Amino acid sequence: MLILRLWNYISGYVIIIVEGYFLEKFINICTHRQLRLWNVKWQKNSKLLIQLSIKDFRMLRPIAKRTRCRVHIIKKKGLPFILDRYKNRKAFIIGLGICVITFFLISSFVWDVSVTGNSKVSTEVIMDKLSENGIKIGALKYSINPDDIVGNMMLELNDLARISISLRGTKINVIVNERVRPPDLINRNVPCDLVALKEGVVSSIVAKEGLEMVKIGDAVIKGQLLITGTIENMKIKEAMPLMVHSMGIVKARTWYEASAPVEQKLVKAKRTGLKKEMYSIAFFTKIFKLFHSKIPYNNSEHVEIKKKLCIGENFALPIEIIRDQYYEYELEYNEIDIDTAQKIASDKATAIAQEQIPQNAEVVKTGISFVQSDNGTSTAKALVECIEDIGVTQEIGGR
Amino acid sequence: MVRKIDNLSKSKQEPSKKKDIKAIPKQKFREKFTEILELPKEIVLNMPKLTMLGNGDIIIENYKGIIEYGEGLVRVNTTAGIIKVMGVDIFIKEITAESIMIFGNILSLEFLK
Repeated sequence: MLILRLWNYISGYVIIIVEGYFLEKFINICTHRQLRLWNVKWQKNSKLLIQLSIKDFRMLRPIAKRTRCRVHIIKKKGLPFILDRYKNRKAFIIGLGICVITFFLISSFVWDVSVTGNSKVSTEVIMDKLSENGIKIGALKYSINPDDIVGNMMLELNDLARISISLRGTKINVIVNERVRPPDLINRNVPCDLVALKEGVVSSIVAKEGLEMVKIGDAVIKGQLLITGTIENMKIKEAMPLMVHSMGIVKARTWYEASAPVEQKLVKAKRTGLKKEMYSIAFFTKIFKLFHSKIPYNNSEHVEIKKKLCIGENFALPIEIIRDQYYEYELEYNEIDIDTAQKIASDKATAIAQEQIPQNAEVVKTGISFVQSDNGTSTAKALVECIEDIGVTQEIGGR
Repeated sequence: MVRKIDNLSKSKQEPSKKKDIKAIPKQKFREKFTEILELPKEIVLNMPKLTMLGNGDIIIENYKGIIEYGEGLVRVNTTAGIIKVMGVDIFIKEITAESIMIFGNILSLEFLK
């Protein structure tokens, strides 16, 4: 009977020793007066070990008098006695109360806002909008209504397709999905031209609609007409020209170039392995430095590691531990031979050139040349040749 | 009740057949009555109800009181006579006005009239 034992413990009970000659009489009177005794154990020298609840114990005195038994308490057990012991420790109870209250106070604020899922819209923009709507670090949790804020955010930020705000403990997780904007298409009924997006040499031209204005091998400049949508009537020159929505694929060779200097003297920072760590604690927004001293190194690299204190996964506390690590480094001057230096420079130049190439372009050839300048330094030049679609539709204006 | 006991004691001292005959039919009549109607005897006749689990634990309901409690011995008074429970390390686990629960290694159970 676990529940009965638990109940006994909560209501409190005493273990007593009863001494006397009429112990059976004592028990009988007890039971007649509706007292509940348990674990009545016989002991030597006409003693009885009895357990009974506090309430029943108060009624024991007249019975003991009547049966001329002596009653001693051996042990007091249960919650009431423990509480009684803590009654005099006022500071402990006050501390406990303060602890509980601060816990509730701290947990009713937002201490962490995280934004995930964005790539084009910067986190700061979203954070700004969130703080305008009331979600910021230190805001009262109960004043935040995620549904309303989601609605406002969707109205204010057009680039978002979806936003979800979830309150978990003291943490707010904002998950956004960005809208992929459809390309600005010109309506099929509107007559238009195809013009060059950038310079290049036309390598192939296919007009599905409209008249080709350039031939393969022509060099075109930016904005040049490639396929026209205005078709003149050949027989009757005076008649109105036919206006069409020109379409087609114009592929051209394009070049991208970049340069990087060839350096034979390399300066390299190398960590010496010595490091110094310093700790600070950020409480709310105030930073307390712990045992900070001067950095003993001339050259050092600074790494800052911030760690937010969390209880569990969702209960962030307004306390942050900041670990500043300083790594000493030495500058190493290395002389490398010309071939390696050239290779490094050409790789660098190619990488820079490659960055400019749009996604749909096809790289045909990569050329590298070295240019020697007057003062002895040389630079690597990378020339990347691509074939890409340069045609872009443009509405025929005015006509 | 007192009168009944008096009667019994008197009957023991000086056996007069008249009183014995009178006492027994009354008891038997009530017993038969409850048997015919299938009433619970422990309520109507105030009989003790004994529940025993192996030899380790006995619950006696409807008892009158304990007569003796010593080492390895408990004597309980009931309407069906005195129940004497003997055993090793036996103790009263729980005792209330309605029932008594004896725990321990029970060796014997006797009814003394």
